[in-house]
Amino acid sequence: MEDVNINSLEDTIVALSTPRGRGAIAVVRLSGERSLEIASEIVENSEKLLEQQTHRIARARLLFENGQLLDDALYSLFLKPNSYTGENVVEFSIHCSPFIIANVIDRCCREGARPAEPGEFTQRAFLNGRIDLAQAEAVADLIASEGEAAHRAAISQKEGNLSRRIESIHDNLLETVALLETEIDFSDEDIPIVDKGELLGRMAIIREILVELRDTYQRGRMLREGVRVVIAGAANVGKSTLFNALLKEDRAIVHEQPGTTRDSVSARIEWGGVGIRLVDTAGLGDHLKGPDKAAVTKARAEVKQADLVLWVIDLSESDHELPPADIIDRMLLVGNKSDISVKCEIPSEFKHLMVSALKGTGLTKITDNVLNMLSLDSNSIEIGSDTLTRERHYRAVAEAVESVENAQSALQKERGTELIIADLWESAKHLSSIMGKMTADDVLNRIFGEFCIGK
Amino acid sequence: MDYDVVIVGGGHAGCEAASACARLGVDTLLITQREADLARMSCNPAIGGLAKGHLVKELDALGGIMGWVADRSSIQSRMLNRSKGPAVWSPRVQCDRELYTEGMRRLLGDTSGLDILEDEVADISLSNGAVNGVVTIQSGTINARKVVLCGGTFWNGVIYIGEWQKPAGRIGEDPAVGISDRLEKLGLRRIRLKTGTPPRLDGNTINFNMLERQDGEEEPIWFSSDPPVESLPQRPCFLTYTNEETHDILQGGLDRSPLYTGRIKGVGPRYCPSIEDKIVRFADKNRHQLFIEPEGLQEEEYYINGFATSLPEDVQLKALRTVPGLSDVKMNRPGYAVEYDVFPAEQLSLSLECRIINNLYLAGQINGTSGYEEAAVQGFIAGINAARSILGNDQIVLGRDQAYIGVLIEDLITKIPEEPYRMFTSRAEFRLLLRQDNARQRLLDVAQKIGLVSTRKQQSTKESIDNKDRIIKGLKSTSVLYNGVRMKSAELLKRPEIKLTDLVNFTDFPGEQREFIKIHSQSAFHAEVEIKYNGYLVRQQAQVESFRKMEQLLLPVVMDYESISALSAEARCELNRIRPETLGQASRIPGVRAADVSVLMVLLKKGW
Repeated sequence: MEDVNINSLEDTIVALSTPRGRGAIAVVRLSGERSLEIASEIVENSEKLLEQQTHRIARARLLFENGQLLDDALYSLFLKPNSYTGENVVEFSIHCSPFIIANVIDRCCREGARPAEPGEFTQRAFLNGRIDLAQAEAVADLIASEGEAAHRAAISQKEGNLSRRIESIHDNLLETVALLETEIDFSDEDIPIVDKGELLGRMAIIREILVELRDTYQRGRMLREGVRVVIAGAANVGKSTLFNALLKEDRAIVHEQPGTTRDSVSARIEWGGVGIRLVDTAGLGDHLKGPDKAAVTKARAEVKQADLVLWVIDLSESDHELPPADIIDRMLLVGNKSDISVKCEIPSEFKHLMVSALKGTGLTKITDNVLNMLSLDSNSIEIGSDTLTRERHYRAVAEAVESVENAQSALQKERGTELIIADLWESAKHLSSIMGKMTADDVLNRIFGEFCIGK
Repeated sequence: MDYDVVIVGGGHAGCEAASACARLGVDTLLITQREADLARMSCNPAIGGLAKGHLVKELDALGGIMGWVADRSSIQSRMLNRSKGPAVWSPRVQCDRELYTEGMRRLLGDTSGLDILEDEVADISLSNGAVNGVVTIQSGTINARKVVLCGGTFWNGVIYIGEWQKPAGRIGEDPAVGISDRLEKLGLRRIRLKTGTPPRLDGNTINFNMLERQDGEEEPIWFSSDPPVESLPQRPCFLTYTNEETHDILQGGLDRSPLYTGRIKGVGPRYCPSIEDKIVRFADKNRHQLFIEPEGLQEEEYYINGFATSLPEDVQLKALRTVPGLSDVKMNRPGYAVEYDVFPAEQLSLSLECRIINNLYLAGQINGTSGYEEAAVQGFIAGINAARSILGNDQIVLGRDQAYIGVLIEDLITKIPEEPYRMFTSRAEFRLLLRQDNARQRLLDVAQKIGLVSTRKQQSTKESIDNKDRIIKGLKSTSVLYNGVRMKSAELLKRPEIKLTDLVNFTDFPGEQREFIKIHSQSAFHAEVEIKYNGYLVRQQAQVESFRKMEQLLLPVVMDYESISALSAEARCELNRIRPETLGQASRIPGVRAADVSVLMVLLKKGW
């Protein structure tokens, strides 16, 4: 018999599962067959731990090897299979000191545990069938999510909402396939032929649901990755003032990147629970001297990548730079310096509003308008509880839509039933790739490569 | 007596196995209870049909004999599903039952290296866990290096008609006892399945004027690449229906039905229910269609398709007489149900060799299938593999991407036998590529490897492929004027409403190409299909490629799945039971979830 290397899955693993850094409490998690055994070696009164009921918390004194007190802590016990990983899990809530954390992990390792690889807890949850691929990806999102809305979308996906929704569309598809198959494999039986209108109706419904789902992606992607809002316009219209004013409005600055005036400056902020990357750019416009070519190129690139552009003009000037045509459908025209006398008229075809960055007036209107334009206001987010947040899912759903459309057109043109079925099967296959059925291993590799979580 | 291979059973599986073995050059013995009953059609007098027609064509392409014999006893032929795309067209022929059996008998009789023995096998003989012969009732022990078992419905067969029951393989023929019990004692898992057959009617007592006549196609359709010069006279089938009165009578007999009183424990096929099952399960249907099919050229006896039953004989007759055209009908023989032993095919490898007892092959209905064609292809595969292993050659295993035969065998081994297995086109995930008309072309490589198809035929298949390519090239490089627009012929042909036969008659279609296409009509048809369905075929071909990747990931046969705690409990159990040979096969086992496949994939990556 060939030697099978499955040791690493049988190992009991240990890692810090809260972020490194300052905080009151840190959690060290042990998962694997020997979790209890190992945990019992490092606590005082180990009998108590071994008799502990699952999903209960108890106080424990963690000891050094020589019996001295390491930390006065709590532990939680999750017995298999009802734990996160599907294995026996012990979690120690300890005081957050690098010294204590290092020693608790070290003690576990000396008793037979091994430090977990990045993402290994989630990988095990997946391998033990506790979560499917979509859920596993959602865990990664959950941990990486910065805005509240992204967090909500990830939670919803982790709960399996996306999988459930896809499964129900998948079922619908298979039901239609089954109807059509009877026409082929039982054509010599006395079975009424399925009505073409009914089939078209079924496919239309499936397509509609799929399209709706597909179209959540743009929003989902913005939730997951944050929205790029770029402030642009001619020089000296008050872009940087607006940038700073918007930052001041926001109390939850995540971090700020240093930059020179010639470079783009950006900051992560949160508006209405949505993560926003706000970017300030160098002035554009040919009639101005000043900014060098590199800065202008950079600014143009930022505008191109933006989900939304705040195009700033100076209301106190009679002449102003018009926004480039290609951004008009994702642009909000901001007339700045409304506190000074308004000397120009804003072209009415643009969605616009007036503010004074210096005085701080009209700024919340910017926030509301931006979220509304991107369908990211609280109403839209509530509806989109199952939002596609990953490109892989988006692609699969988009291709599923295409396959259903092929089936519709094949049916319209009265092409062979077997061809319509081939299209519907293809659609079903794209969908099932989201839930991890029929996974090609490159999908798996990509997903597990992305897990830098779970510690 | 010493043989290389002994085949036990002379049904459709046994005959294919025996013929293939002998022609491959190994000393072969076929043992059957009655030589006069070789390749007996126990049920309907037809070969082929939906998906089954594909099997027969594939068998013919590989060097099997069923199609050859069927062509020579055909009294009606049809291409089913012609209104659909060519991938799901299926040929079916009505056969003269006696001519079929005679034809097979003559063919096997003329096969050198093949002996036929009338006897009954009661046991197998073993040494060191491997079969080394069979024990017959009259001739004693016969030594064999390989044994192929094709027991059909004979192993512990019991026939039921109403309250009457009797051990029998077919009506009037004794069952085979002993061998099945022995296999179970040797550790093989055994289950019971059931099937049924309708009454046979006296042709002189049917009023055909009351029936709807159905003729076959004018132009005969052949299975074999070597058809007879002339076809036999053709005979029609007829259509009629049951009615409410029929149903009432059948209903009245249920209290004496072996099915409904629970005496039959075996599971019957859902796709071929008995008439009593139909009226119970589809109570809202006020009529069921019945096909009345001739049993032979002489039209003395008819088979009533759709009326399989095991109700008491008096109920059968009374019910039949309510059917239009049958008011005075006489039954030559009542319908009956037969229950028999099956050894679920998970105990076999894909070559159909038994995994538990060496040198033993199992084929046909004992593996859980139903149908002559399903049996025949298994007999053929088991036969060539038995012979090949004697000759020191590797085993032939067809993939799901190559042939319906591959789909059938893998399904048998991988899926749980809930009912007798019948082939359907929808079971073949790559069916757009696996057409009945291109069986010879797509199986040319395998046929070459097996070596039962003459080099002349192989050469002609090769030429047909070249001709097809030449026609495609021609169509892609020339153009014609259509509605005032100049278009590439191939582009125009993609339109559903344009047929190649119309296209070649365009006045500006190149004359040389036209001639070539007319001469090579078969290749031209293949070219047309490839052009017309190009988008679909390319996509399916891509799916085949990714399928093959999964098939190339080999799983260790001796792996203990119980030890992999990451697998779900059900998957561990099913994997241990079925022992898939590839990851692809594992993924198709019911109960093995996507996550389980991922686990296996991760383990393979970690250096299995």
